[in-house]
Amino acid sequence: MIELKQVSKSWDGGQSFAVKELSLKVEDGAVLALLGRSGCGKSTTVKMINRLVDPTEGEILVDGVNVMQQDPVALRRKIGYVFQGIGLFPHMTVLENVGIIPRITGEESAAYRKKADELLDLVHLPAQEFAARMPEQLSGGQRQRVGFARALAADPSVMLLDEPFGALDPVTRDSLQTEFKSLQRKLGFTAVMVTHDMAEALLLADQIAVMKEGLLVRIGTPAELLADPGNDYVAALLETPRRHVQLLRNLENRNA
Amino acid sequence: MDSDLLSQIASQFDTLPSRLGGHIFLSLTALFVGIVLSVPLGVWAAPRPRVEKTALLLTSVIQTIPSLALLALMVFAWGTIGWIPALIALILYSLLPMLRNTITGLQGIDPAILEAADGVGMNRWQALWLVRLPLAMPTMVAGIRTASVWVVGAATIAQPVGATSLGNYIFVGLQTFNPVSLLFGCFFAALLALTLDGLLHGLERAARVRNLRLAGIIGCGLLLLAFSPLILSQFKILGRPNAVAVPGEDLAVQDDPQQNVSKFVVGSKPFTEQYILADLIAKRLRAGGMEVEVKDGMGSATTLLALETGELDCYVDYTGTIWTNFMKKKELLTRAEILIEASAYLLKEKQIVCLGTLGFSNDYVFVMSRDRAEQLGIQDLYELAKQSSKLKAGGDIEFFDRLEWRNVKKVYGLDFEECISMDSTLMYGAVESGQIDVAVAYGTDGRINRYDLAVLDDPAVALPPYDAMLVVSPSLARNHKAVAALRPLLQAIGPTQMQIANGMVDEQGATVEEAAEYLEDSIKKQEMAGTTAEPSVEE
Ligand SMILES: Nc1ncnc2c1ncn2[C@@H]1O[C@H](COP(=O)(O)OP(=O)(O)OP(=O)(O)O)[C@@H](O)[C@H]1O
Ligand SMILES: [Mg+2]
Repeated sequence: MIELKQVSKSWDGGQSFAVKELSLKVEDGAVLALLGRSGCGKSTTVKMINRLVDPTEGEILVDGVNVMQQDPVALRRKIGYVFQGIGLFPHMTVLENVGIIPRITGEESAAYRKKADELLDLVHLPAQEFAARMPEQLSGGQRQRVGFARALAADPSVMLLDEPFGALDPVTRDSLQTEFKSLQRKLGFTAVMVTHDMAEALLLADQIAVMKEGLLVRIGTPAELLADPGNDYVAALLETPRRHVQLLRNLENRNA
Repeated sequence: MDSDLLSQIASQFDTLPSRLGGHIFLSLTALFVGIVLSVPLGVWAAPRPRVEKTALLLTSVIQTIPSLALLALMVFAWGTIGWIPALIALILYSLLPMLRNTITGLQGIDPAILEAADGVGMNRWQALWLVRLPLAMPTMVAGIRTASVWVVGAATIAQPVGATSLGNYIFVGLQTFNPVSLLFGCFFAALLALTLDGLLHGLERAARVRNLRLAGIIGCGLLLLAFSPLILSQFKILGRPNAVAVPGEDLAVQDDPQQNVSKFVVGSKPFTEQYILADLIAKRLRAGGMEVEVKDGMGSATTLLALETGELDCYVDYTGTIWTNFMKKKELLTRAEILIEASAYLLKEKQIVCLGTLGFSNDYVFVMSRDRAEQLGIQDLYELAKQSSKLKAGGDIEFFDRLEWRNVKKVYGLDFEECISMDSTLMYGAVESGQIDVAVAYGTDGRINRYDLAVLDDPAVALPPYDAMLVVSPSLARNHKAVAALRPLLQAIGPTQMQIANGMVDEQGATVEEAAEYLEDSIKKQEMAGTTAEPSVEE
């Protein structure tokens, strides 16, 4: 379970806030989507959960414990983190990238190699073909899968995903989204996922939180949001997928 | 001509193992210590702008000091010569490129990757070892390569501070006008720099593509390079045996295993007496059946060095020069004591053998025109000192900067109205014509007689004696034929004979060869008469 209580972050000593008085809760095994325009504070929020960024005010609890009272290194090793922009180590092979967390936590070489192999299979990258490749020898979609696999290597109960499907073609994106959903069901981790895309949020998330200029403007299940956007900003965000659906229906009707 | 060139090149190989060895030792050690210092310093400085600025400023300042000056500074800073100051100077020299590249390499890493290192839960050391250093490695290696080229280059000028390196070939070549030696040194220095650079480049590649076998091969290459002088010395290419010579009589009975390779180089400093003596020595060695090459007019400080390094086999030096210039002695002993100490010093410190004295001494003497001296009533330096404040003195270009001058000035309280440095050939005319009142002349100079100059006494013995002595290389000392050919010269040339011979060349337009013949004749006459020259040693 992840809980944020009145969390604020200022980069300039309190003059302006990247995140302001944000409170939310993600139940065990649930997926929360963080939505909002560029620069509204999504990444900052996510990074405060694994202490890549320390909050200016407020409290963050992971599994009931305040993160500020935990060793940041130990905390991060427990939490899977998929980086905005992937963040693979360019000088390590795919296998080494995936096995990095077991390796730094002192697991035997043979053990972490085996684990990395399994994880690569899990994200549909056959180890024989991909294990020895360097990140630069992968396509964008393959890199994101490696990023996923690396985050899963710690057997995390909590996953943070910062735009995991950004910059992908719609077909790859769709297949990765489906894989993510099934993996999440299978492994049962709690996840916070940052996205720009309302359709993605509606498909994958149990809860959707919409942010605007550091503030939380709406939170609810996909059904709740569709039934009642609550304000114009959320309504505008919902407008795009709605229009797409409408467009498709019209086309189908015409062809039928 | 061709075979001559070949034999010249071959003779350079004798000293290659020790010089190349010295060069490799200096360069590799300096690079290694440089890396050990600059990498941690760079890691520490990279995220600290103020430390970074200070460190880079300091190393840049070191860099702007000309390498020769830096070497000299290290000699003063450590109070010793040899490989220690050379090594420290080279280490300082290697720091800048390595430090700068470590810092830029670390700072150039994409911040997203550093965040990823944090994000997966690496601690500071893991982030450094697993991410930051590997990613900075190519830039760092580039810095090491730059440093290696600098260090190999700078090690060539370690010779003046007494460290053996390939620079010995270059310096000796320069000072003795020997292009073969010069090119030989340059060639091997360039070869070493290129080899080292190539190996480092390969090591970087091996690290980048993580090819353990390639890294192993290159590691072996580096080891081979480090030990190459040892391997070279095993080949003994015309190796001259390393000589630890014993002076005097014992030498003649020792047989030189290479008796048949008796080619010797005779040197001279740049003045008449030296040219005559070199010619005399060369003629004697040739008469003894040896091949001789003469290197005339070498810098007076470098003849001894050339003898030490094997570029020269024989020349005439003076006890006072060794005493003041090389042994740096300020106090004065008797002639005999200075002779003994100087020969002992040469043998012990330089492995140079003093065969003995020639029989004359070429001291510095104060001279005045006879009329002027009588008019002022001056016969010795005490009397000169009393009136020196209104007198002008002239000396050769270096005299007034020499220790001897400072000493004699202090002892007698000499305080001339003016001290004028001039070419020694002008000095005698100047004192005769009254442009200067006193000149500091050479005791054996023929012009003292010719101009009828009065020589002032040195009752306090403030000027050191300059007994001419025959100094030879160990290989000549071990060749009994050569020693036998030179022995008749010992105690055979008196001050008058030398003065006459000098005068023949300087005043009467005779050639150096004619003057040498005159000396040879007078030696022959004495041999027949069974006498030696009038002794210059009075004690
Ligand atoms: N390290 C930092 N120092 C100063 N300001 C920062 C820092 N990181 C983020 N910010 C600022 O905080 C605000 C929120 O940034 P954040 O990265 O959380 O946005 P985001 O919602 O993730 O945007 P995007 O969708 O473009 O990734 C922005 O105005 C950004 O400029
Ligand atoms: Mg972001």
